[in-house]
Amino acid sequence: MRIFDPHIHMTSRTTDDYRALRDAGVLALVEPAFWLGQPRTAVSTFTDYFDALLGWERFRAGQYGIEHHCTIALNPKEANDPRCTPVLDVLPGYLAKDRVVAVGEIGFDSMTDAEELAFRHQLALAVEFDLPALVHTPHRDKAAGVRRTLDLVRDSGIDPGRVLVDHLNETTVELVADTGCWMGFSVYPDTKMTPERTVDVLLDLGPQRVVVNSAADWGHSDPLSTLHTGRAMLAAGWREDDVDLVLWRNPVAFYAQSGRLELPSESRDFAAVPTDPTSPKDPTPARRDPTRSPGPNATFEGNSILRGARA
Amino acid sequence: MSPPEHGVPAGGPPDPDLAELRVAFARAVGAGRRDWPVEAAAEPARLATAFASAGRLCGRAPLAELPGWTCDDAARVLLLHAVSAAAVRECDPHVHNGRTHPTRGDLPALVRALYEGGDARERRAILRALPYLPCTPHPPEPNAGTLPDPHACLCRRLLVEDALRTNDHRLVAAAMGPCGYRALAPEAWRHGVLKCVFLGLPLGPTVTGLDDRADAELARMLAGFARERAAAGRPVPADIAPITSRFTPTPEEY
Ligand SMILES: [Zn+2]
Repeated sequence: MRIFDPHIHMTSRTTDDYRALRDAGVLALVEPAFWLGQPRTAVSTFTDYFDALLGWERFRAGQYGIEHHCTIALNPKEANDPRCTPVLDVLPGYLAKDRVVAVGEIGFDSMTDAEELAFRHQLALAVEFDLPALVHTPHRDKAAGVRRTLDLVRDSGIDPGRVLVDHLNETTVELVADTGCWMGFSVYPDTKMTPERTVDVLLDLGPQRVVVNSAADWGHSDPLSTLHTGRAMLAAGWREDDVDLVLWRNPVAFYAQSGRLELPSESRDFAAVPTDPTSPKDPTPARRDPTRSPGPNATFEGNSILRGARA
Repeated sequence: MSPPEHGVPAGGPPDPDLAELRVAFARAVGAGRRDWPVEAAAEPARLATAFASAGRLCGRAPLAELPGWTCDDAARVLLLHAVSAAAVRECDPHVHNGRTHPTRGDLPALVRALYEGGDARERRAILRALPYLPCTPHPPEPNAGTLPDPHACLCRRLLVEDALRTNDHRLVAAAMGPCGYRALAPEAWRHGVLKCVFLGLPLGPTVTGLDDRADAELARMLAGFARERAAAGRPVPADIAPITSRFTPTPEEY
């Protein structure tokens, strides 16, 4: 099984986790910028954090054979603190960097006016920098939050095929299914989805435009929940090719729209399974939906396959 | 020693020289990107974005003719050199074709801002570019007599010292290259060598001027490191012995 974890906060994790991730087949991942548990009070603590995502964390992951990418944004929780909102002014510099594969996590936490302002501003930045957007959905009043999220996505003019709406569950996924946005499931003990519930949802939804992530962070979480979900899919009778689509090709296709993925050369033939032409296809044709084409060895314009020594 | 002339890199000519770097870069990237560094330097308002994009535009493959160099490193070094060359030639009011260009006096702050805003690959390229950039003349520092380049800019030394404070092999290695050889005071340089040993970086290919700058104090520090390693039952890197044996400290100096 080759795994691309599209949402995991490695800053909060240990080197044992890196080792376990690589052993589980996680060859590449995306670390979204989010909050750190302790609220921040100044712009410089954000820039130090962003620099760590571009620098030290990338280096740390590389030592364990994992290609680290990140997304950069002012998160919705801290968008409510006027001491933090000037972070919006420093984002353009970061959005020009290598391996910054989306604007995120943006979205709503408590659905305040300040959150909406930051959300709209950052959707516009995604359009301006030609980057996808990773959208966090709130834990409280989730359905209303998802509806409002989709309104703002529509207003922004961003291509829905470049938006990943994350932390969905049984009750909120149907709001997103017909919008053309990608659907993310965070398989997270206690508060989000279990592997078994995720497999049940996938049975209804099919494997197209779906990604599964661990969202592991400083809370009670499991960085290997992508692996557990893949195993649960196989146990429920899914084909290996569908597991590969959900755990590798889908997240790769979504973030490859940035043109900034750098994937290890071994991932091209790592447990590759030929695409079955009879596998169910998304019935809604999307203008830029990359899931329609990629086979296991697909590469994408602007992204690179790393050969030999990593830089 | 008199201050270096405007526009002349301090501390002797860098190796490879600019012409060699240009040729190797042009061969690697082809006609499509060969002129990218000069073109990007002509757009000062977009410099930071261009600098960040060098790897995506020019690639990151090693340069076949220059071991240790990659396309993106060379692209960034040539871009910074083109910016500095334009700035050195600058005359008032610094506006050409409607664009405001940095003046020579702006260069240190400009390089520092690119470094501070850069990711590790950008920072490495800036460290590698320093020997190709003209030094801003200034009075020698108080202990400058002990430096290979007594006029090495303070602003450069700060960047090299910043890189040595990281734990990133790429930055530490770049800091102990030509820029560190010229700019670091003896104490900082010795600790840089020791840090390379700790990180498992091979001293020969990493540390510029190792034979020139190695001294009895460095040999003492390395001998101590070797003893700790041996006591822990761990291997002692082979590149330590030539330095420790060269200065053969007596037992009480340990
Ligand atoms: Zn998150």
